[in-house]
Amino acid sequence: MAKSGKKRDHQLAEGQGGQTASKGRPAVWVRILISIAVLWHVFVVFISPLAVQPASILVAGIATSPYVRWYTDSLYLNQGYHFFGPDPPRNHLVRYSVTDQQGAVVAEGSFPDKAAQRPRLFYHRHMMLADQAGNGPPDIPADDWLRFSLRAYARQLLRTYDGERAAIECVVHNPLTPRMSLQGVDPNTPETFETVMVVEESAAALAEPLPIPAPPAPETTAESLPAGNDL
Amino acid sequence: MKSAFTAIRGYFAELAGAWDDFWFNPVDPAVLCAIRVVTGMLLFWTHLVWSFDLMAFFGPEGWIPPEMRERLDGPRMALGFFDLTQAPWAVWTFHVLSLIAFFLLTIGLFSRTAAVWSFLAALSYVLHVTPGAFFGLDKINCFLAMYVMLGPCGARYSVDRLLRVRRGRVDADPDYVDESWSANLALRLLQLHVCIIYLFGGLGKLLGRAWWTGESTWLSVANPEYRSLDMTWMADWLRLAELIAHATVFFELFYCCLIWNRWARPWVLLMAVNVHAFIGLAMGMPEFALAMLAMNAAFLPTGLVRGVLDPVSKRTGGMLASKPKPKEPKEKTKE
Repeated sequence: MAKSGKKRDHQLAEGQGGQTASKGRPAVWVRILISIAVLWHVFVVFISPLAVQPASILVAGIATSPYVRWYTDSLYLNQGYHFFGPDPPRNHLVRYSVTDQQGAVVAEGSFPDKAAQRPRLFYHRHMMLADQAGNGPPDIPADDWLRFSLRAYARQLLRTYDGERAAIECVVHNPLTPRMSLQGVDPNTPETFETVMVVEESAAALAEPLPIPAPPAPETTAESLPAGNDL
Repeated sequence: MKSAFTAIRGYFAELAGAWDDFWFNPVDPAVLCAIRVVTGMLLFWTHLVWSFDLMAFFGPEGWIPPEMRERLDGPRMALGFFDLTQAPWAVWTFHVLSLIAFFLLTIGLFSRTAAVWSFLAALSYVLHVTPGAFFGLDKINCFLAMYVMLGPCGARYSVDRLLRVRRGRVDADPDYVDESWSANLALRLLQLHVCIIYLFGGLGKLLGRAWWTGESTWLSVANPEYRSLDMTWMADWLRLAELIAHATVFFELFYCCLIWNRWARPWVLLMAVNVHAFIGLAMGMPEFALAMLAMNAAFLPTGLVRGVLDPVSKRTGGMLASKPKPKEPKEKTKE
């Protein structure tokens, strides 16, 4: 086994309350500055997930104040870490059909699709596209943002396949119950899919920018974290 | 009164000493360097995959069009490369340079510079796809890159070290690598961050119903989109599924306490391996599982990491850094 590269250069000094020798360590003033930075960093790393809704107005107010967000936003620390919480997700799928001027189908498919998107991580990115379609800024209603995202996806498909019309259907895929699984029901049986929204987009609209959904009435309560980061 | 004052002063002196030891005690950078290798690999692979349809995700039009970005970036106080330009040539140039940086980070060539570039690049990518196409892997990738760049991440298991040995600047004996306080600082930050991640992972689950009832394991394995390994046989073993759900929540909630106890630590790390092996193999997220295990690796003892990696490093280094053999006299060949 490897031996120690250098002698341990700190020892508790007797009668000095555990003060340590500073060999191999930065100067005291550097340590003080770094300690302040560390306290700040750990504080914001902790308060960011604490501010995910439901949260107190105090914590949400601190986490979303510009004094904190200049740091958390720019270092991507504004995270919730609620992986598979509060409950495991039911996934969304985006089904699409692109037609040309004669009405003939030029592209048809869905994402995520394990067969079409490989490797697995690339498939996962498409799964996130479908799942996060309704995940917009906190001041925009989720349905409005979902419609906006689906229109954006439709426009991307129109450009990719040079189509005239694109029809998009966002569906949610419900998992089977244990009983259904034991009965041998196909997990992709049509009954497991629920339509959430259908959107159509035409090539003529591509010339205009996509209209951004407007927020409803201004809210008086504290904002939540930037949307999407509580996953 | 005087003794009370002495006791209080003694307490604060001990606290300052313990704080100083915790953050600034120089340590062997082996663990940080091992984490650097995994981080580099993860970053390289994660971003290489974007190449399959780079412009659709990062181009001027695409899945996340400028109108959407404009609205999303409004409340955000961050700036990434793709906020500056999305011209195809610029996007591809940035992408290739970033892949080179991730590769250099993996092999440990210009390690510190590559680490800083890797972190900034990873941030640029993820800021552009949040929300849109991000997930937990991106978060952990960024954290790993951020902490790795704080310490001497190329001190071991790197081409940098091989070059220094070859130039006679450092001893070839792996036992004589300088201990570093910044390696300790980076590892401590990683350790605290992973504790916070698990704590809020557990607390977030308690907000739902399925983790209390134990249905969450079934809902996860029965999810056709995530599934990469058919675990639906659990329909016949629902008590086992419930036990797994409870164990997961217990693990996440108490990780931040148990991991600091040296007797409990190996078992907690073993549990982490189990949890993330399940996520990696059954839920189709091997990269995320590996990233979380890399964060957990901050708690591994230096001796264990060196015991595993030093022989590999020695063999690889021996092959790469061996001096060129003296030229043998050329054989006469028939003209």
